[in-house]
Amino acid sequence: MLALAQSIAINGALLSGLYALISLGFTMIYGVGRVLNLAHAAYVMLGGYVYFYCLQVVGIPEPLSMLIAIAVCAGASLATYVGLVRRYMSNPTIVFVSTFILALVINYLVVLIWGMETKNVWPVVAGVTQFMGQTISNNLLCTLIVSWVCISGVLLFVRKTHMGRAMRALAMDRKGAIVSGINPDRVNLLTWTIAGALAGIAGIFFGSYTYLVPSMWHMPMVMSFAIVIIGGLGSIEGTLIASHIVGYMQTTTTLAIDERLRGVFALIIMIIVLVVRPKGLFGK
Amino acid sequence: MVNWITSVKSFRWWLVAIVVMMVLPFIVPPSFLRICIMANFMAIFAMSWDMMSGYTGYVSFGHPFLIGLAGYVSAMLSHQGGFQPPHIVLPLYVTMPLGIAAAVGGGMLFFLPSMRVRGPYFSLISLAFLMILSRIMIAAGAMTGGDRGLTSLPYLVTGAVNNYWLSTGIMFAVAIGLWLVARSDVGHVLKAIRMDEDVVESSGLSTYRFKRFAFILSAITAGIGGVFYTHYMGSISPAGAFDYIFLLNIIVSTVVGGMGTILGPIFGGYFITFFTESTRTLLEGAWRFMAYSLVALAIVYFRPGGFYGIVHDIAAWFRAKRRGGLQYDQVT
Repeated sequence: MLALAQSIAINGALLSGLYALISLGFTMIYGVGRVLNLAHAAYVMLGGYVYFYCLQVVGIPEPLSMLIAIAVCAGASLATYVGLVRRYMSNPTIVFVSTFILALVINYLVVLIWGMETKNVWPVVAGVTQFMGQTISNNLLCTLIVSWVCISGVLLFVRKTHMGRAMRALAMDRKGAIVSGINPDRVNLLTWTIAGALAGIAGIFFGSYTYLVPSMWHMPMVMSFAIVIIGGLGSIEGTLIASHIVGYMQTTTTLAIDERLRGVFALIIMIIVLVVRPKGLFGK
Repeated sequence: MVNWITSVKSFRWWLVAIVVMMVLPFIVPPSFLRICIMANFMAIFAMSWDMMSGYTGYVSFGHPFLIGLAGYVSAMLSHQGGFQPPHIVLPLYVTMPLGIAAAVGGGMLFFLPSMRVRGPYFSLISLAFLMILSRIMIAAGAMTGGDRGLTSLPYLVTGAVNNYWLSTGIMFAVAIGLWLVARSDVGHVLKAIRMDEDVVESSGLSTYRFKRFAFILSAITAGIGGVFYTHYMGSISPAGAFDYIFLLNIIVSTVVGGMGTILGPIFGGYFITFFTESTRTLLEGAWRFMAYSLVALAIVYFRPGGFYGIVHDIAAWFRAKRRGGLQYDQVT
């Protein structure tokens, strides 16, 4: 029982951190541009596969492989904005449908290049650590640390830099921000790039935490929806808290109840939040 | 008041379509008819999606929920040997209406509360319901057959020609019904909701009641399509009913045909079905889906109005030429 609780505590923290990374980008894109990018979770998968390919097929050293994977995801996200979304910023329905189709295009691209079978990614950091009588792989710890470094970085960026303030200003009041001289297009370009990079980082660790399979983006996609709705679309603090609620909930369900019901409870919470408080816990 | 002369005149294209569809079984082989049957069902699903999402702008990702629920309820009740120990096997004329009722009831229970929230929230919540239902159907293995689903269900009619008549008849009945609603004042209000919900609200109309009406129509259509499709296929499984590709097919059919037009989705359903069937021999597996997704993406990107928009533009251009000037009232 204690072992189970510890296992839930550790795995939950890890999964929550990864979900936070994915949802942050998702919610930032919504905050700045008022559109949702349904292809966002597909970049997570793309990042994992590119990292796997560079490291284990081509044989590029680990740090360089990571950089390539992150750059590919950031580039893909930027290309999505420039090539697909920018033209229809004022029509969220078209953005919705077209990014959903794009997610499937990326899905089939991955199937065509790497096939349907699962791929195991080497752990980013080898070895194990003994902690509170539990054996934890260093890979998990590393994932946890990296995700929190990234989250703190994003928070600092949004709070302290000029560009970050521009992002928040656009999220609060679009017209007011434009009147004050903010160029929404430039802010969008940067936001989509950062979001893609975060998804890439999440993808690398997601792959090494479980394994790679072309359907691996389904769960993160639905869960990041649930997270941003529970936390409030566009709210960064809300996203962080909600990703922990959802992450722990999912870990508990998987380890203690029934693996097949994974995700159901998080979605039920989401529906309750939507009915009771439609703007989310921290939405304005 | 409806102008009856223009109203009767506008039926002439329906007559043309019905005559073409009636001649078809006498000149084409059964294999072609089987594709037409699939296209008919896809057209029904697309029209159902269009009635709700195309008109009101509430993008639903949960339509497979309604279709799957209707299909599953009818399948579970009519399945031989399933559902033990009560061991009920009901005839199809009981289970099919029950399936449609389940789609409407389940939809009202789950989707209507979420129609109070707008835009992306509604889409996400509808996707969540789809995920939950699909997980529950897999977990409740004893009743639903779990991952494998239910097979060897009773058929309504057998043979390609009979099924063709049946599906074509349902398709036209649904199409003309929805088309009449869409042309009425209700249809205009629904379109206005898509454009600016606040304006409709402030002009004294309850947008919720109109959305509810559109939703119920959509759910009935989805239920009809779901039960007939299930008993045409003779099987139902989570992989078939709740797959993303199925959802994509419905949405793309509507968008390709033209959102908010009812006629467009029929064309879209036929186009998508024949496109995927004709590339079956040319491309295999993932390549085919890749090509299909890219074509869909290109159409959404370059012509968001779909084929209906293209035809409409050409027709308006010809009319304008004949009259010697642009008629702005014809450009929607």
